[in-house]
Amino acid sequence: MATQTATTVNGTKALKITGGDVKMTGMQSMAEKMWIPFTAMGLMIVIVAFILGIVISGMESDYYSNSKEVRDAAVQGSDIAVDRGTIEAMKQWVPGFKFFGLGLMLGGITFLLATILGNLRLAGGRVQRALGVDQVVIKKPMIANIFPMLMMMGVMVMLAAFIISIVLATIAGDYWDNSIATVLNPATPGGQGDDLLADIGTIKSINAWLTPFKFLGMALLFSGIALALLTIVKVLRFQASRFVEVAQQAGK
Amino acid sequence: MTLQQISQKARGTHRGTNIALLLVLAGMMIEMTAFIIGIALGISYADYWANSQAVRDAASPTNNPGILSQVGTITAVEAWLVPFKFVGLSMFFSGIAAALYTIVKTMQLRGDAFAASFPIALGIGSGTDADGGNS
Repeated sequence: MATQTATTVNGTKALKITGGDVKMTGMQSMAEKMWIPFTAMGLMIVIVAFILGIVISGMESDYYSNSKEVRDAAVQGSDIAVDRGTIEAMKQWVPGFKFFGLGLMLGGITFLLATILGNLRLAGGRVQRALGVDQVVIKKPMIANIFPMLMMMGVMVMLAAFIISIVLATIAGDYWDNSIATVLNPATPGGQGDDLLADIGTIKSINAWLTPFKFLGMALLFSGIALALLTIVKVLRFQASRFVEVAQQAGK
Repeated sequence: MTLQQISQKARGTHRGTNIALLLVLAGMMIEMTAFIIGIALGISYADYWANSQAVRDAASPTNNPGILSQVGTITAVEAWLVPFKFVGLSMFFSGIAAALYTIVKTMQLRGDAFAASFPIALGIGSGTDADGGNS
């Protein structure tokens, strides 16, 4: 079984691997398997969201083929009111779905960067073994521990935003499946249609922070990607230092 | 470039790393701020929509000026909040670009290190005449 001993290379904390070969870390092995499903699922979701956009477009085209009087007068349960409810509901959850797909794709990219790190680790170990010197790898830097967490948090934020948008979609579907002229417009607080007024208030107020919330999710994912890239920088610099050290030892 | 020079260059943190971290941090702060402003905007929205359509439509500078001011604030804030969120995203893209640039520079340094150290490690040369590159 391989053992790890703490050491330093050119001022950078490192680990000397003895009694075995350098292997990918658990996270890197997992990332190697996960990047394809994440990216593929994300891509499929984004494509499905595009198709749903075409469906919404067709429904809107049908809905607006009616005059304003007819649209506004359409009563609850009528085809026109149901159409409006469906359109408004879809407009709520489809963007959340699309952002979730983007989140999965960015998660896939982060996993791919972790796979690159794993391969750099393996390649470094193999070159050192081939040269007949101790296999020394960089000790996992702090940012290497942070970037997978940021990525997972980003995906979770996107999933939460999607779930919230589904809840909003049900509220929007119920709200718009009413006559605009006789029920929605005359609604008054504490009077007729009070619950409908509360519904539209909820939809508008949640939407006001839901979009920045999705951007916050994107921010977490992009931070994860940036930190993964900076981890690659650290590993490459470490390898440069290590090979210089090997040459210096060989030259003595 | 000599082994000592490469060793010195590889020590510590590249300036590009710090720039990338700063840009990412700035982007994160902008997105957090946009989210907090979004919550405040949500509260304004809830207040505004708690009024009936008749009250909202009848609002004027003399009649219910509060509602008029509320809708003005909502519209005005939304006008800059959307581009503000994209400024945050652009910080991340700049940070990622800085990180990628640093990778390029580090790969050049790594190339120099290989060119200088492998001949010595393999016992086929001095390795001190390695191409300096531009790292």
